[in-house]
Amino acid sequence: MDNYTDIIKACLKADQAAQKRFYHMFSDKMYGVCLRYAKDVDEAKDILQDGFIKVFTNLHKFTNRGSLEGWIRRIIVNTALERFRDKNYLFAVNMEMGYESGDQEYDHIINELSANDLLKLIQELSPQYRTVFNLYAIEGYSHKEISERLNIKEGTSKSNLSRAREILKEKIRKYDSVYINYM
Amino acid sequence: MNRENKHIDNVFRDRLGDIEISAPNDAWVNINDGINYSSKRNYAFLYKIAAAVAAITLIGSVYLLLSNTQINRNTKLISENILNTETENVNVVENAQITEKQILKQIPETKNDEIIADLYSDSKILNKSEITVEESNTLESYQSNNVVANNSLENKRKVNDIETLSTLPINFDFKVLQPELAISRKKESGKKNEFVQDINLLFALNTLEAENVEKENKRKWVIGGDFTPLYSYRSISKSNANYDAAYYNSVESPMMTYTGGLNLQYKAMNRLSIQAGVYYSSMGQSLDYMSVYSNKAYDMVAKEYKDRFVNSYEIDNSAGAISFKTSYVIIDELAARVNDMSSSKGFVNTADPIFQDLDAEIKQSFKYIEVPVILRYKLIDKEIDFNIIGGLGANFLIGNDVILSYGNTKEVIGETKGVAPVNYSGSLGFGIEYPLMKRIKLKLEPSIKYYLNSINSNSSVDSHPYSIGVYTGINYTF
Repeated sequence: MDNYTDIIKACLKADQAAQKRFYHMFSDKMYGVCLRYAKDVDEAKDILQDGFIKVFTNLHKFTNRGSLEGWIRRIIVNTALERFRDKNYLFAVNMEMGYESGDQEYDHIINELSANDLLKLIQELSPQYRTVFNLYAIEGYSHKEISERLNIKEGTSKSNLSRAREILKEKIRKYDSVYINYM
Repeated sequence: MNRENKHIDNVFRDRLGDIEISAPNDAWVNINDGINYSSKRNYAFLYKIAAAVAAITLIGSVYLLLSNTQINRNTKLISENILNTETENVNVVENAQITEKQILKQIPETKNDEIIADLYSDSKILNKSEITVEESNTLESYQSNNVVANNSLENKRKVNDIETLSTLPINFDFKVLQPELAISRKKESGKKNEFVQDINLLFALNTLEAENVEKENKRKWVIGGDFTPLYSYRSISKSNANYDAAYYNSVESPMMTYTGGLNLQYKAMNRLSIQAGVYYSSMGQSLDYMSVYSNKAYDMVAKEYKDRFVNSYEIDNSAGAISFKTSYVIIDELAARVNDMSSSKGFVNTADPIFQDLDAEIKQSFKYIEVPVILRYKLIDKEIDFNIIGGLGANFLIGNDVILSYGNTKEVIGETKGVAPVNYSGSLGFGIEYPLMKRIKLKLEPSIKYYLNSINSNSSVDSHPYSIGVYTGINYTF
């Protein structure tokens, strides 16, 4: 923790060199987070920029009692969620046009996929599925927490997670196909 | 199933949970700008003020420079004419004064470089040491003045006697006379440099000109026509929905439209005019993050089956609910604006060759007939007028389309539901009027028009269209 004390103090004094060092200490890791919540690199970059601006403007609130990286990560995730926070954004899709599930062919395929491939698959999800899948499967939030954060019902969170998984499986099986929700 | 779900969750968590990817190089620049904005903001504010002051100073300077240049040029001409005038034609009397009734006439001759000068006064009194001639005319009136000068070389004798005149302050009081009258008078006289003996003729000329000026001033009506490209967008003043202005601003964008029409002005006071008119104007916005695909199946099937490939659905945006009805497959890339009740919503495999990706634009277009009532105040009443303009207008909706365009194809694919049939707008601007001919002026008026009430009371947000343009047109005074 003490490793960060000096640089935080320097950042709070608007020392631009310190701010730049601070940013580069966490930028690559946080950009990875942004890419998971975004549909493409442009959106990820926007989230990263907005998130780090919030980090710097709220740095005085950091209490030194927890993980600095975890604190930054929460701000970055919250920044990403602000884009998708409205429950109207998480509309239900026509379930009758969903995909069959239960096929386990993906098991051996998924092991062949690189991290970038998986990232691409996540980015191809619609925002609501991507957000819920990220929060539950990767960040480890419960459906209750997700429902509170996104202002949706728990049931909606569960169904969105289920649909996200199904779509991911289907995409893994038919990796070359692109499925997009349309009206 | 649970094992399968946990497996896929674990795979993604393990490989992506702590993934590190090099952040874009330029991201830090933007972040640095953002966090140090407050310290730069003061400078930016000062820069803006400095820029505004500089712009105003520049415009004022140019205007004054033009005016002074013209006046100086005229003064110089007069001085030269006086110096070049044969002094025997000038009745110089010591310790006397030129009265206000003195009239100088000048007609520059460019072809043979001959300027005929004729200085005269009703009192025949001219003092070479105390010449006081008041000027009250602008360049335009001055140029039409009737100073008849003789610039011939032979008329330079005795120039020393009046050379001192050029060093004295000279004010001119030109009674505006018509050039043709001066020429006529010249012909009548049949000689150059002849004094006017008949003071009654001068009074008559002055009276005639005064009547002309008065007649011009009595022209109170102006008719004009405009055509103007517009930058058109909207502002969101209030949101009752979960989406806010920032969201809509990220998924919608401005578009270029146009307006045109006729107007009639009435000069109610010396500097104040009231203007009314009838304008056709187009407003709107562009919808972003929409992918459009043509469906070849629609072209391939028999006519009676085509309806099956026409999609009907709604999406919500800041101007209200857009109702689409089209054979095109339109994908909301954000998957967020679609109305849950839309019937044609579903999944489509766009990799299927039956769909062809189109580089298309979707625009929401509203067409209005506008009846504005505008007050125009003439801040500067010179050769080039400067006006402040403000008013209100009633806008009657005559067109409400959602237009798909790609290549040379432009197709109406829907409309916006619940758009107010009448909307009221306020406008504010300033502009200049430049005389092209005696009664015809070119006007350039940068103005902004803002819709005072929301375009759609059914929309979840208050969306107020606005437009910015340089209104360009011609005015005719009668």
